[in-house]
Amino acid sequence: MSARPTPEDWRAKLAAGPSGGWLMGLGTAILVVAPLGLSEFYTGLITSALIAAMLALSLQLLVGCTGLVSLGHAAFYGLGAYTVFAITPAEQARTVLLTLPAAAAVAGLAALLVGALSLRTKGFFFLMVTLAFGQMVFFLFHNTKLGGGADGAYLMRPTLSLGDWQLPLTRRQRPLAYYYLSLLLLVAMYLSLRVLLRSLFGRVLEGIRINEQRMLALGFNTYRYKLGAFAFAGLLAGIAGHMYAMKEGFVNPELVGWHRSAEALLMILLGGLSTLSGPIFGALAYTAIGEIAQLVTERKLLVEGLIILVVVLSLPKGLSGIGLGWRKGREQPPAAEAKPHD
Amino acid sequence: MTEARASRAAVLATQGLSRNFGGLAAVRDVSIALHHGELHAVIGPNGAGKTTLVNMLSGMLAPSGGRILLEGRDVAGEPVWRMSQLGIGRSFQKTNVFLPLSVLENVRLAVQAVEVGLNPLKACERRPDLIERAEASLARVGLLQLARRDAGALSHGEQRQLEIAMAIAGGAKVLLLDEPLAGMGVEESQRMVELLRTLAREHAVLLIEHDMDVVFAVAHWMTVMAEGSLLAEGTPEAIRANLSVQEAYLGASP
Repeated sequence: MSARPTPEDWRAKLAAGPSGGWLMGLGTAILVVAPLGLSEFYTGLITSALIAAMLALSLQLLVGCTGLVSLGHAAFYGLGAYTVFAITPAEQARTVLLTLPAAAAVAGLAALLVGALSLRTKGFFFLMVTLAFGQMVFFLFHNTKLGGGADGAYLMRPTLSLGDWQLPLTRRQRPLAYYYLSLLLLVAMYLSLRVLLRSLFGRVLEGIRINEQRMLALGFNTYRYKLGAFAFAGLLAGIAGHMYAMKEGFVNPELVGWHRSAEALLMILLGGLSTLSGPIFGALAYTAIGEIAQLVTERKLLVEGLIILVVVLSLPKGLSGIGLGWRKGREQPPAAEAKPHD
Repeated sequence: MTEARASRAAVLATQGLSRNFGGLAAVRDVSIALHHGELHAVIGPNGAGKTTLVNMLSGMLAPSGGRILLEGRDVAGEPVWRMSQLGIGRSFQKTNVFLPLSVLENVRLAVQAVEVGLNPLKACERRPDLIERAEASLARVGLLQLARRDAGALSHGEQRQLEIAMAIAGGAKVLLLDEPLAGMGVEESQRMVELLRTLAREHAVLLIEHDMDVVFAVAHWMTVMAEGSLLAEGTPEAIRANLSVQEAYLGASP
């Protein structure tokens, strides 16, 4: 093969080049130092946005990466939060080293089960079946005393402790700890999804998104791959739900409802369907839009809706549609470049 | 030739294969045999059931009745992905490739699809062998110099070649080629005919094709279908001489 780069090569380099890692790195750096100059209120607000970003990012694995639009994703988010409540005794806080893996495991297993059934359907039916499962979980918590019923329940926040040792935090430092833990988990989630999408598994998800029938004809048992993605996305949503319970010290059925799932979808739309950074930008922007709308008017939802409409219509690829991408991994494998041809 | 052929074991054979769509019998009691090293052309007018037959052989459609024997084992009703893993590769009548992906990635996916026991979490770059096999397949169809293009940027004829590359990439024993020359220019067709000849040496090839000049030039064995049924089979010479085939399909042409 000739060494002369084709236009496609350059486009791939541009798409993957500085913008992807560079902008994400800069954003992370800003978020690391941000709390130094922010009030407790804004630290808490950004923490909520980071948690929302985790939920949206986990959903992106299904929607943007695999082409599976689910309306029940908040079920796994809520299950993660309720798991913290369920395993925490009334008077005794648990360590995060226990609650976090437990929340992830419960949500992941639930997603495996729900996915095994719902992935037998496609397209619109898949949307409806995931919605139905989500609502089942919602009413499970809403109509029974399992998690405090419709009013929700308070819980002892998980502590940052190992055995008898506990990270000494003052009351004022605690929100900061939740902030940094959320940021750390979000970055870890983003990086692990990047690695996943560059793996052989990720390539299959990409193929399924583009043309599932062709993937079947090639010899891929696409059901298994979709189930793997669905379960992993549920597990990640459980981690997000855990952080919600940890930050708020409270769980209620709204965490599980379809409204929360739709919100996560909106964040993805806002940020862009074709990148991993999209849902993160989308969640941050969505939170900011909500706050600004609240300052300006009492009709917050109306203004919020209008802004989202404008952004989605004018930027079909969302806020991050300016050339960030996951094209990088798949374009030019080094092995292909090293070999002389022609 | 007929006797010698019957005595050899078929790679893929059907026995009484049928498929109904509602009240319509799209394929009716068809028994054919595909042999290694043989290019087996299936011809017939539109609606004869050729594509339905290929869809059953590739697992995209479950038969309503009959058997499909792959090296003696009944595989009728297996899902399409299993058929592919068992060694049945196909190309589509209507070009069906991953347009946003590079040509190389299209074929690499085809290689990965039938690779058993790989660790799916491995980074793609850590399996250069998959890429090398994809490149070998592209070289065979003459597309290697376009490996890095997006498949969507290829010409129609090149996309047809890419289909073939994807069909052979996984090391299939049987190739089901549904009108690989459809819509191709003269020069491209000639190259494809050459390719078909070389592919037939190493595979059992089933070819659906409407261009009779091509069919008679490359086929070793022919099956004629009409209205879902097997009308005649034999060597190209025998088919050319067969009166009922001439009436049903070939019309005035000799």
